[in-house]
Amino acid sequence: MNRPTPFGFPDGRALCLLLPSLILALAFPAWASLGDNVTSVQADKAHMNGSLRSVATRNYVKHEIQVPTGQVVREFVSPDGTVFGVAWEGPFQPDLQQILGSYFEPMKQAVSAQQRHGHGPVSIETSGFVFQQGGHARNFHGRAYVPAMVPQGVDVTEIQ
Amino acid sequence: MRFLGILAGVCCLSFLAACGGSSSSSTTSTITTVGASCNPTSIMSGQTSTCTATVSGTGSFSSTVTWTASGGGTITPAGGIFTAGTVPFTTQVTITATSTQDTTKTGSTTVTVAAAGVVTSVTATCSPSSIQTGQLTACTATVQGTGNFSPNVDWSASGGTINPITGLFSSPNAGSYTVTATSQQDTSKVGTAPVNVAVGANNVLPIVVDAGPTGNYVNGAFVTVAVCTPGTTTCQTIDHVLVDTGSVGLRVLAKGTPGGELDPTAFPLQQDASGNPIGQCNQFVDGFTWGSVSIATIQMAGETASNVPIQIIGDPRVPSVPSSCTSTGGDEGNLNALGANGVLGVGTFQQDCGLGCTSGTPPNDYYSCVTATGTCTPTLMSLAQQVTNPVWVLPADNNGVVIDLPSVPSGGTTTVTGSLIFGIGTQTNNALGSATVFDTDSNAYFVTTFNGQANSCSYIDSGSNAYFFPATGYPGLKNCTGNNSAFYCPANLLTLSASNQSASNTNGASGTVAFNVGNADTLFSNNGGKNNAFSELGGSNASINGCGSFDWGLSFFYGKPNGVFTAIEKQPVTGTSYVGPFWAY
Repeated sequence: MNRPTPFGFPDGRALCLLLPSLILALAFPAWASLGDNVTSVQADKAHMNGSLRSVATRNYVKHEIQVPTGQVVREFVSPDGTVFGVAWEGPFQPDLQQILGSYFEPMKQAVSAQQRHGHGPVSIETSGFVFQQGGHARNFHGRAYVPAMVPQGVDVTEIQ
Repeated sequence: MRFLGILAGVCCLSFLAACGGSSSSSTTSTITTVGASCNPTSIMSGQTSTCTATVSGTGSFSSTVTWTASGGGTITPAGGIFTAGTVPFTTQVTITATSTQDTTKTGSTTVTVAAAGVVTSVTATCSPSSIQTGQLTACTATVQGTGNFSPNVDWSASGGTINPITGLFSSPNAGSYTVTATSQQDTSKVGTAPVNVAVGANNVLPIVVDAGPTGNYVNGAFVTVAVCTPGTTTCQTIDHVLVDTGSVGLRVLAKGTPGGELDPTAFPLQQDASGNPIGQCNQFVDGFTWGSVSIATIQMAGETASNVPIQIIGDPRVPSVPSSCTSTGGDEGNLNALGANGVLGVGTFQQDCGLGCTSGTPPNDYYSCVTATGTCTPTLMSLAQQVTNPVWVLPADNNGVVIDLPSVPSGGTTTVTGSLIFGIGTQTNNALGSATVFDTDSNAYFVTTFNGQANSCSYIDSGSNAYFFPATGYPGLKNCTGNNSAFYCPANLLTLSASNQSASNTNGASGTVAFNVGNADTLFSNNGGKNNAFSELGGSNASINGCGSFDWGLSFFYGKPNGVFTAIEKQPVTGTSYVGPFWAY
C-alpha cells in the first residue's frame, strides 16, 4: 500500500486544496477515530463494510460512510490530517467505540458522572470534548468533536 | 288522448318546419294547461310505460310536448316511452311533459318502479355475542329474497358504536345491546342480533413518580407488573418498572445483575432454528441493555398479555455482552445505570426493531448465541419473535395507552400518583375527548417549532425525564454546570412556548404548548432535595443532521386534562377515523 494520506490515496491533500468541490467515490474504507491522525485508517479497515464518499471543502474533508445496516457515519478531517469531528445517524447506534476512539471511555464516564437522575438524550460539553446524541428507538443521531482541533473558519454546526 | 299525443309527435317529426311555422306564425295562440298520464303506472325494472300528454289552449296552439323523467329510468323525449332502470328499491319516478310552444306549461304524473327482486328476510348474527367493554365483535347479515334482490344492509345499534358498513361493534359501556341490519332495498326487512357487553378488564395500572429504587430518580413514572411463566399462575411481581412511550417491549433486570429481581429461569428462552438462545443488544439513546429474549405472560392491572417476547437484562443463560454491543455506548444493565427494575416500553410500534431486523445484514441488535463457546453473532429476527409491545397483544384495550398524571406545583413535589390506562376509546375512562391527535412519521416523530426552529424529529416520551430541546441563542437557556449539566439552569423561571404539528403528509393537526423551565440546580435543592416530580425541568438537545429533536419528556405529562395518548401503529380507535401511530393530548 502507498503511505496513507489524509484522503486515503496519494496526493489527497493536494487534491483537496486544488479541487475544493471534488466528490470522490472511494471503494475502500478510509475512516479513523476522533482525535486520531487520518494516517491510522488502515487499522480501521476491518470495521467497515460499507461504501464511502468523500467531499472536500475549503477547510476540511468530509468522509461519509454508509453502513449496510442503515447507519451513516461522517468524519471530518482537518487539513493537517486530524479527525476533529464525527457525526452519525440511523436506525441503530454505530460502532461508537471505533468512531470516538480514545474519547469513548471518557464519554461513558461523563454520562455516568452526570447526575442525570433518569433517561433522555445525551449532551456532554467540556472544554476538551463535546458529545451529543438524540432520537429514540429505531432512529438515533449524534455528533462529537474536539473543539481544540476544529480548524479555523469551521462552524461546529457543520459537523453533522 | 294517447292518439292525439302520438299524432302530435308524428306531425312534428314529419313536418317539423310546418309545425314550427304553425306555432310561431300564430301570434294569437296560447297554451292554457298540459296534462300527463302513463300506463301502466307501476312497472318493474326493464319494463316500459307509455305516456301521453293532453294539451289545452286557444287559437291554433301546438300540442307538441317534450318528455322528461326524474330518474329511475329513461324516457324518449318526443315519444313518451318510459323504460324503467335498475333500482335498488321501490322508487317513485316523476314523468313530466313540457309544452314546446310555452315551456312554462307542464304536466306531471308518477310511475312506480319496483326493484326486480324482492327481499324476503334479513337475519343478523354477531360473533362473539358476548364481549367486554373495549372489545370488538363482528356482525354479519344474511339477506334472502327472490329475483335480483340487493344483499346490502345498513347497520345500526341500540347503543355503543357500530360501523354502518362493516358491522364491527364495540361499546365502552357494559349492557345488553341490539344490533340491527336493515335491508337497503327494502327497509321494512330487518334482522337483529343481541350483544352482551360485560364490564371490561380493569385497565388502570397505578403510576407512582418517586425517587425510584436508586433513590435519586427524578420524573420517573413507575408501575408494578407481574411477570408470569406462560401457561401457569407462577408470577414474579416487579415494582418500579419505568413506563416508556419512547421504546417498545418489557425489559427487566435479572437476578444476578446488581439490583436485579427477576429469576430468569422461570421463562423459556427465545431460540433460533438451531435451538440456540437469542440474545439482544437493545439500544437506548443513552446506552444499551444486554440480555436474553425470553417468553413471558405479563399481568398489568386486570390485563394479561400472554406469551410475549421480553428482554431479561443480564440473563446469565446467554453469554456475556459481545464487543459489538459494548461498542455502541454505555452499559445500562444494572440498577444504578437503569434507575429502574425494568422498562415497560409502550410506544407507537408493535415490535422494538421492526423490519430493520428481518432482512439484509443483521444489525447489532438480535444475536444468536452458542453457549458452549460463549459467542453471540448478530442474527435476523422475524417480527413475531422480536420483543413485542405488551399492549398490542392484549385481548382488548390493545390500541394504545393513556398516561394521566396530575398537575405538579411550581418548584416540584415529592411524590405523584397517576394512571397508566390501557386502550384508547375502548372504555369510559380512555376516551380521546377533546384531545388533539398528532400523527407521526415512520420514525415516530412529529414536528415541534421552538424559537423559530422547526424540529422535525420531535417526540413525546414518558421515559425521558425533562423537556429536552435545542435552544441555541435563546436568552437564559444555559446548561447547568457540574453534575447537572444535562439540564438547563436559567437564572429565573422562564415562561416558554412551542408549537406542535403532525408529521408531514398526515392529518395536519397543530397546537401551541405553553411550558416553564426552571433552574435545575434550584429545583433539585428545593424541599431539602426531597422533590422528585418537576413540571419545570428542561435540558439541552442537539440539532443534528437536519433532525432536530424536541423531546417532550415527563415534565410535559403533568396536568394534561385529557391525559397523554400513545396510539400503536395500524390500530384504529373505534368510533373515530383515527388510526395509530399518533400522539394526542
